Amino acid sequence: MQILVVDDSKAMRSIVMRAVRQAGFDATFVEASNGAEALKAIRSSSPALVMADWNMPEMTGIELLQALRAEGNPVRMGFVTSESDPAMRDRAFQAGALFMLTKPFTPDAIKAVLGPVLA
Amino acid sequence: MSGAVDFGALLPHLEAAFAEVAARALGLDPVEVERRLEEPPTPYQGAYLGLLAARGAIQVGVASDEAGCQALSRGLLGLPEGEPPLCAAELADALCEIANIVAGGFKGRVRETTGSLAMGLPVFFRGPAQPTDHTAVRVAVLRAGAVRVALLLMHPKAGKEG
Repeated sequence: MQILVVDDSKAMRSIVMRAVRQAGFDATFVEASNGAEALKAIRSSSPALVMADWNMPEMTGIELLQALRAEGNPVRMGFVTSESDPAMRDRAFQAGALFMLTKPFTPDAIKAVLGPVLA
Repeated sequence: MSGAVDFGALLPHLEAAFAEVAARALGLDPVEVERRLEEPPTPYQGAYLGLLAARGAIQVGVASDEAGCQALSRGLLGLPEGEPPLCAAELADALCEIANIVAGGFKGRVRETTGSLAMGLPVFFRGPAQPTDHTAVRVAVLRAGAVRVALLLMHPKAGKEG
């Protein structure tokens, strides 16, 4: 199973990948540093899941999700973000996000959100 | 953000946001507030980002000295003691992410006071934040585990928003 991790922080990408492994999921990873890079990666590699930050340069996470759905791409996607605003959560879920995990997160929180998605 | 916002009252929310991040993501516990200032400490480095409201903006930042920034970054990355120091780019990236996470927690805590805030992207800096005629800075100096950290809250002076 391939997971695309999208975050403008290299540190956070490595933390997310480590947390997914520690939560017991057998995954390989592709990385992108913003939504525009992610869009190209998704078109070329069709990951099983996209875990994206919200605030990023060039193209934000929600813009990425909206672009994917606009072109009919149903790839599973959720957010890993420091944002916890209820209005943003609503916007994310209305756009088709599967989860919105708030930083800082615990390994148990990763397990809880990814378990149902990757079952 | 209305002119009635008491910016001094926001500082404890920034401290609480940092304390949560320190405990859950940096492995730095406990966090104790040593003092609060209205001028920037020097010499410091760190990261800050803007929180934008319909009227006006504030910036929040996390700063320390070089050793402190290394410790904060190693904590975020889960690196053990004794590892070689992070290079400048790694340090800046990690500090920016810490500031980002702290700002997110702060934003959630002050939502009812400030109204909706839009988060900007973090910026790494070296040296003191310099208040101007239009801006003021409030600082909380904390000890997080063995690391001394300064939290910065830069805001418009009363009557000078925008």
